[in-house]
This record gives sequence, structure tokens and C-alpha cells, in this order.
Amino acid sequence: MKSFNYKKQNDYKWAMTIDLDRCNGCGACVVACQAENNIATVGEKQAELGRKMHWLRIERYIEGTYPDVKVRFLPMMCQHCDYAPCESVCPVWATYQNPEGLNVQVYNRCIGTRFCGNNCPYSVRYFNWYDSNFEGPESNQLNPDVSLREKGIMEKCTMCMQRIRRGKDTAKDEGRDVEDGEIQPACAQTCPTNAITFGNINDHESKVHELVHSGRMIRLFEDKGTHPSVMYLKGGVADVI
Amino acid sequence: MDRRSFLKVGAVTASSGVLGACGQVTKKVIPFVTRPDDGVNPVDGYWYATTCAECNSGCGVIVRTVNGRAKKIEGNAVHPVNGGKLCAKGQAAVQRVYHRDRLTQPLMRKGAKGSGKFEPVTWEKAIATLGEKLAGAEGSVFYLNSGNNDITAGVANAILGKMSGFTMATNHDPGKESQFAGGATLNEYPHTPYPDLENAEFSLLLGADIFESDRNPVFFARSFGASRRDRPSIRGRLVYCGSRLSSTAASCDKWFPVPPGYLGVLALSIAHVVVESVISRGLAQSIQRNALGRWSEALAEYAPEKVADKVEIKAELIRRIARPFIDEAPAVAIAGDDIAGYSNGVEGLDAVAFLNMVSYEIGREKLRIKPRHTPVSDQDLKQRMLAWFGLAPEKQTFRRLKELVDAMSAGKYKVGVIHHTNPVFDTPASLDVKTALGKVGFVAAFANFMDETTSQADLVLPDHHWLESWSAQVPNFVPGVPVLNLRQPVIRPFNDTRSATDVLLAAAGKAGMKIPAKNGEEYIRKIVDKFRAEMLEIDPTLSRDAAWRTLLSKGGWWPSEEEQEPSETPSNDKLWAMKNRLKVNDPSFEGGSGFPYHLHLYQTVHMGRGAGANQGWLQEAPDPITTLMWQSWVEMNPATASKYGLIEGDLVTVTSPHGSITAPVFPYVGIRPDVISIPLGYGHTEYGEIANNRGANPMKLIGTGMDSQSGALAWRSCKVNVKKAGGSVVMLRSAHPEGEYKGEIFQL
Repeated sequence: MKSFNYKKQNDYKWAMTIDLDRCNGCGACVVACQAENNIATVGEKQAELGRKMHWLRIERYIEGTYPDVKVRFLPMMCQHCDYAPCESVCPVWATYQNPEGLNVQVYNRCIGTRFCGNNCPYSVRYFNWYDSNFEGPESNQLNPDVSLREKGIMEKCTMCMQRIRRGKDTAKDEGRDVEDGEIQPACAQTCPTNAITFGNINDHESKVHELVHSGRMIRLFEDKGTHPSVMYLKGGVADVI
Repeated sequence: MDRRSFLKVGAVTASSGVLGACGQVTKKVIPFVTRPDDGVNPVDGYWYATTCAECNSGCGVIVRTVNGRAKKIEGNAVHPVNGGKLCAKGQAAVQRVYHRDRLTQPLMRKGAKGSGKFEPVTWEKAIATLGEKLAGAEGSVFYLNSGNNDITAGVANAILGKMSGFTMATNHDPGKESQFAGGATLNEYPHTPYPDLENAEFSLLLGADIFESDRNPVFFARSFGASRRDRPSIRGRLVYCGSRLSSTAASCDKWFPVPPGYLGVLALSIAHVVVESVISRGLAQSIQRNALGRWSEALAEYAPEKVADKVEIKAELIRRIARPFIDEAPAVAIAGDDIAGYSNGVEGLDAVAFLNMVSYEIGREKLRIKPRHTPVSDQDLKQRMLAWFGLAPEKQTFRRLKELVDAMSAGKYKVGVIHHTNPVFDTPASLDVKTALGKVGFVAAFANFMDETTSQADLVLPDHHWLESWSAQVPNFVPGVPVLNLRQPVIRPFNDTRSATDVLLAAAGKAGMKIPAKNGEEYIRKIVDKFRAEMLEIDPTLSRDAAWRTLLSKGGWWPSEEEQEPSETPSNDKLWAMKNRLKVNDPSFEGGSGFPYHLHLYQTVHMGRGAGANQGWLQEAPDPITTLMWQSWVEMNPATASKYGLIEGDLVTVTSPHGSITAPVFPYVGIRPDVISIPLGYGHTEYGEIANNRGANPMKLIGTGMDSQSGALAWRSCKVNVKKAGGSVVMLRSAHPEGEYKGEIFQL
């Protein structure tokens, strides 16, 4: 089946790898994501209720006891599962698998049952308890590519859909395929350690394809059978000294 | 016909009817669900290159503007410092342009001095007042900035520098001034060579929080990523020694908790093992053999067996840590705050420089280290760049700041100009900058926001945000080649603000003083015109305007790596004669027996020293280690906390000889039981709704003790006591203490 104006659907299958051996937990990706996607801050009170909205967060694990302590970081965003548990429970098909392997949320179809958030094993779907708070002069910083979400609907990482679409549009205008590395989500673009790699996994020459087949790849909660498009690369710690 | 077939036929008939009615045949019906990738409407924008000013590191950025508004900041891919990458603070900078608390008009003090009461005045009046005061203050003016070496400082120097008694001063930066001090070993200029983390196989971080507060977090993060996984067969290994497992330490493979103040001793102990190996195995023939003998003698008392108890690492382990410096070089030791922040800071920095130098010679002999481009060789160019601006290189140290504040208190200054820095908040409260400012005749402050220092001023001059103004900068700590950063207005000013450079020039001009240019842009262009011959990358056939546009589109000027001769680390007599410097005294601490705990202050990646505290994005971004948001905290080892019956969220009063603060406890296993740790940047009182009264400012706890050799603030040499304050608060943690899921599930 062909989708409108674009190449046949299987030409692109977006995937991301996150190299845990490179990630230093600095949080640049978290703020970059907020700036790119018009994500509101919820303030102290709502944060206390667990309602903060970071589409991308950094999990932190502490293992061991003093003095043998190890801290690990794991950036966590929507995993864009091929078999997404969130999709099957939505009563109004507000969330679906797009032809390029991304799990997409249709905001104006969402009625806010929050079943999807409940069913997501990665806890990466966020509910808008209030309208966003970009008031007064602050509205000037909003990215015109991305709509503001209203009270009562779910939102989550889109893998910077607007950047993907712009990349594909440019490529189409120039009569070529999207090149590897041409499209970068905001998090991957800013990551100071180059831990995040995004690309088309159907392109066997792509960086992301190479990394996925590097032998270090793991998927989170593989036993759940969700088959995420976001894959992590394990660190390797043998004899340090 | 069964029911199913009927429905099929019915559906076909119905759809044909619709198609017929439309008068055209659609061959392919697009399922509705593939249409909206929701709310997406990619629009074009314009990208401009400029330079980030959220800290003084000088990262190049490109800014996307749509309809005259800045939308998104990204790293400038061609810039040698950050190579297209950016930290959280840089990413959040647009939030400051359109901040609701921005100063929008000049303010003149109304009430008593320091009362914080102002009334709006016109720009004409503000400029005339400033000019009048500057002209009438011959011999008693100071200019204080954050130490960013920018064009405004150059202009201030050009206008006021000719007056006798003019003081050009910089606020101190505890994370950076130590690095000025450490540079003294290898060269006379206030500059430290960048440790080559990227090419090292083994890196030993001695209290160096390089991803949080050091010379340039983004550069170091890039190098770290490259050292880990850019080389096909080598994975860079890192070991961190220091009293707290910082977020930098968390990225390392192993953490050794070393008692505060003894990292220099550890460095010399490692150097001892390395030097003994050099002698016994006949390595590194480039080192003078008699020098080796002298070193060996001086280092005898630092044998691992002798210092193991002091540094609390077993002798065998010290030998193992030393091994990569002999066998695997390139290995590098990086010194940071936890060496420099004590009374023996410079000795420790020297020790690390020595260890690196010996290891470098070993690696060079084995041909494992290519001569790299080191900043040492480029000092001349950097000095010249500063001179183009009209600035002299200076060591940004606490001692110089203290001299200035003492002179203020003595009533020496009639006029002071403060440019984007907040010493009332981010220097030790015991220095009492606030009272000192009250004794200055007239204080003018250039700022974007009202803060603790600006509120003490007599005249508040709202400056453009850095996205709105012309400027240029020679950052102090750049890897490799020196950099001249340019800043251009990427958007029109959003408020009725004016550029600090332009206001200074206008005020001086009005007062009949000699000014070097009409405005900031002209001043920068004059510099470019004058020194264009030195900028070899610019095609000499280009016209003046074309050359200028080339520079602006690139974000500045820096020589290409190839063009600069790579230099050897200087193997000169100065180094071989280092015998006398191979000694690290025991640290001395403030506070007697009533203060059993070491106070370990640190900068977090989001707050820094407090400038980011009024940004929602940074307040709500969880701290990497504690995952706390919107509040400050006191870190304690769980063993220490339980001694006082404290659990997470309990309020605790931390008392030092200089003052006390109260904040909630966060028990953290990555900290020594004899250390209490508090982040800087919280506890603002006059920095707007978002920042105010959020946590406590630990600068109230420390004194003004300095490293006597360098004049750097010994900001970690204070000891404290703790007491349960009663009551508790909710800790706004983003994660469960052990993560929302247990780490083992992922087998990372």
C-alpha cells in the first residue's frame, strides 16, 4: 500500500539507539525536548503530584552500598513499540502505529480516558491535567511546528515528528531519499556525548542499523513482547584498573 | 445469500454511489488514521550563528527564528568548542528572552540605598546620569563582570582605563578559578592545557566534575563520548576519586571515596609509582636522568604504603591505578574542584600536572601519543586576541575580588559598574558584598533580571538578552586553538532594553569623554578590519562587508587546526626542576572540634551558581543524581543521617563558623560519611517568583579562606555541624531512590 505523496511505506522505519556507555546523565536532551515540543512546566505543586510532563526523562539507578556504589543513567522516552500495549486499549483509536513504525497520538481524537498511560509498561505517556501555562511573553518562544496540547488529553514523545516530516519534505522536493543523519530529533541533536542515534533501520547502510547489530543492543522489557523501536546499547565494564 | 455476503455487496454499492456522485474516481482511499501526525506543520525559519552566554565557556550556537522570534537554540556544528552540541542551560536560554520577569525599562533608586525601591526613568535620563557620574568620578571607578572577556569589558576599559585608579575586576567562579591557578606550573600565562580525554585510554578524574562545572562541560562530554565508543577496539576507562560521587563520577567506571583535601597526596603517590617504574625499567629516555633521581628522592615519602591510610586506598590499589600511566599511556589525570578547593589546592594541581607530564613522556617514547595541539603554544594568539578587545589577560581569582570588596568597604570608589554578575548571591556571605556596595557612591548595574546584586544598585540598566545584542568574546578555556566568538542580534529587542556596550559608549560620549566607537557593532567591526590580515581563513579578496558576513555566518573566527603547528608539551628546564614543587601539605580546615563534618558545596548541571534558578525548565529538570526538582537539599550518607535519626525530607540545620542554613535531608550512599554536601544556586531572595525562597543558599556557610599561593577561594575547606531542625518537607523526586524500576531488570 502506498501512502499519499511519500515513498512506499516500508522505505522508512525509524529507530533510535541510546548508548548507555556514552550517556552521562547531563539532562541536555530533557530540556532540548521541552524547547522543541512546547512542553509545559507544571510547577512545584503539580510536580509533587507526579504530573510533570517531560516526554524524555532520565532514569537514575543507584546500586550497591557505600563505598562500592554504582550510579547508572537511562534516558527513557516513548519506545515506539511495534506491538504497542497503549494502542490496543484506546477506545477511540487516538493512538496508532504509523506506517513508518512510530507510535503516534492524535490529539483531537483523544478523550482522556488515560487507558493508554495505564497500559504502557514504560510510563512514558503524560496526561494534561491543565492547559499549558505559556502565558504572556512566554508564548513567543513556542515552536510553531508543534501544536499546544489542551487540558484532558494524553501526549508523549513523537520522535520529533515535525523534523521527520520536514526532512522527508525536503528530500521529496529534491527528488531523493532522506539521507542518514539528515533528520535528528532534538534530543539526539544536542546530546553532548553523542549517545543518541536516530535513523532509518531499513537502510542497511545507516548508523542506527550498524549500532543495532553491534552485539550490544538490548530492548527494555523484552519479555513483554512490545518490540520497541528505541534500543539501548549496553556498556561494557570489565577490568577497570 | 448469507448475511456476510449481503453486507459486502451492500458496502460496494454504497461506495460506488458516493464515487459516482463526486464525479471523479479516487483510485486509492487514504485511511484516515494515517493522516495526522498530530498538529504538525513544519514551517521554515531562519538560522543565525551566535555565541551562547549562559556561562563563560563560549559554545557556538545557531538559533532558529520564525516571525522574528527566537524559537530554538542548537549547537554550531563547526565550532571547535562544542561541535554542534549544547548543555541544558544553553537549550533553555530562549526561556530567558521571553521571561515574564525581564527588566523592561531603566530604573532609578527611589528609597534608601539598598532598599530595592526603584522608579522608572527614561533612557535619556539614565544615560545622562551614568555619563555624569562616570565623568565626575576620576580615579575611583570599578567595573565588575563575570569574567567572560567580552567586548563590553573591552569598551569599559577603553573608556575608563585611562583614568588613574580604575579597577577592572571579575567575579570569582569557584569551579574555574582553580584552573587559572593550576596553569602556573606549565606556563606563565593564566591558562591550563586541556587534558586530552578524547584520546586517552585511561582517565583518572581527581575530584574533577567535568560534566557539571569545570572549564567546559559540553567539550568534556563530547570527549568522554568519543573516548568511550568512537574507537573500534578501545573503550576509554575512567576512574573517579573524590569525596562525593558526583554526576561526573557516576559516568566513570569506578569511584574511590578519598578524604577531602588528600587527592593531591594521592596524585603524588601515583607519580611515585610511575617514577620508580621509569627508573627501574629505563623508560622515557627523554627525561633527564638526574632529574629522575631528584624526583625519586622528593617522592619517597609518598610511597603507596606510606600514604595508604591518609588517602584511604590500599597501597596495592594505588599501584594498580598507576599502572595505566606506565603501560597504557595515553593515560591522563584530570584535576578539579575537589583538589583545588582546599588550602593546598595549587600543590595538588601541580602534582597532577607532574604526573601527566611524566606519563606523557612515556607514551611519547612508545609512539602512542601523537604530538597534539596544546593550548600552551597558542597563548600568544590568545593574548593578542584579548589585546584586540582592549583587555589584559588576568587571573580571575577570589583574592582580586576580595581586594575590590575591601576597597569598596573602605569607601574608595565613587562609581561602580556591574555587568551581568551577582556577587551578593554567589560569593561567601562572610565577604559581605552587599554592605560593601552600600558604601560605593553610585552603582550602575547592567542586567536582564532583578537579582540580589541589581537590587542594591542606584541605577538599573536593562541590557539586551545575548540573542538581541552585538558582542564578541575570547573565552578563557578552549580546547586547542584559541577562539574569537562573535555574537549578533538574531531577533529584534523584545523589550525597551539597550545593549550595555552601547549605553556605556553613549554615556561616556554625552559626558564628553573620548569613545572608541559609536556603538558595539562598530567597535567589533573596527577590530575585525584591523586584524583581518591575521585571520588567514578569510579570503583576502573579499570586500569588507563580505568578510564580515562570512565571520557572522560562522559565528566567529578561529584558526584551523592544520594551520597551527602542533606543539610538544614543553620539555624544558622548568619542568625538570620541579623537585621543590613535589610536595602536598596536609589541608587545613576552618572550624574546630564542634564541627565534625566537611562541607562539600558543588554546582549542579542545571543551576550552576544560581543564574538558571529563575527558569522553569531548569527548575523542573530533575537533578541527575538526586532527581530532585524545585528545591535544594542537604546530602548525607545514610549512616550519618541515621545517627541523627533523619530520614529523607527531614529538615536539618547545617551550622558552620560563619552561619547556618536549614534544608531537607537527602540520604545518598555516594558520599563519604564525614562529608555533608549541598548544591549551589538555590535560596534566591530577589530573583523573581520562580527562584525566590526555593531552598537555601549555602554560600552563607563558607568563609573567605584562600589558597595562599594562588588566591583561589578554598571553598571546600569549611567544616560544619548538623542538627535536626524538626519538621519535614515533601521531596519532589522524579524517581524512586533506586529508580522507578530496579536497575538489575535491565542488566545494563
